[in-house]
Amino acid sequence: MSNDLHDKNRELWTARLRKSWQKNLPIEKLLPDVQPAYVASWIYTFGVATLASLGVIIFSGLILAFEGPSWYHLSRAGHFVNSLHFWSVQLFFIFMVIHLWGKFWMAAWRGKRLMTWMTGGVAFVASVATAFTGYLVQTNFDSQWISFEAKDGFNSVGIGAWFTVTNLGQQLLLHVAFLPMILGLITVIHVLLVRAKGVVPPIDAFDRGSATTNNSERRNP
Amino acid sequence: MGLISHFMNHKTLYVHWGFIQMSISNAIIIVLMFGLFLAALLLPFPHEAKRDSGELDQQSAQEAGGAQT
Repeated sequence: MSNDLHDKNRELWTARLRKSWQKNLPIEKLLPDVQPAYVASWIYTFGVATLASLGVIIFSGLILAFEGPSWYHLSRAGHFVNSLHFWSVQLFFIFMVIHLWGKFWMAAWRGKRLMTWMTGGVAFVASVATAFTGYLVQTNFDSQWISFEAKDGFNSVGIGAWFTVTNLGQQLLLHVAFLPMILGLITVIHVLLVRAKGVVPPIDAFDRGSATTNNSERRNP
Repeated sequence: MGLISHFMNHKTLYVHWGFIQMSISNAIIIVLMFGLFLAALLLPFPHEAKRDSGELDQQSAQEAGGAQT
């Protein structure tokens, strides 16, 4: 066994993680100030619009959590923040779906970006689950109606015993703790992958011979 | 606002298209999303004024295709 191999085997996981991070995601990639020419299109803005909406959702959600249901049901300021939370969710989904359409039609999984595509898909599913639990914890007649309609669906597929949509405490904790944590984690991984692999070029960019982001793109269009 | 409140304070209208049934509100949102998608593809993107070339990392700019956004 050579000394190099011996040293490599003795490396702590922290050193291996650091070297892998520096190799795949150096600070120039993590915080770029220049993007490829093809990014100058409105269709490339919907990812960051989705992130901006998510920021408003989290901020307004934190205010709702601190002030409580009696505040957001009965005061004018509470109504405003409640509406801000609701409508930012609507914009979040609109922007995310248009982002999804754009990425689907440009086959954004090309160039070893499959994990970026898949984490985006998982983030979409996690967003639907988070929004659904949000509808269940409005503490009004609407949430009561939705939960009583939904319980039959979940019971019919055999998961109603542990995912109990009429259990307000369970749904509230899922909505404000577990699901946002999962969604936030997937979103961070998704954005880091976008940074590491670069923004996907248009499909015909290689025919024009102009828009490439890195060598792997040239090898594997 | 009068039109919106008038629309929202009445019984929900539905569109029927074969086996597809959805509320007018959802249909409007979907149409608006398609419109936004098409606009994003077709409308020209305003280009930011280029900074002094000395500030740019020339190698990065060449690799990226030479344009800032």
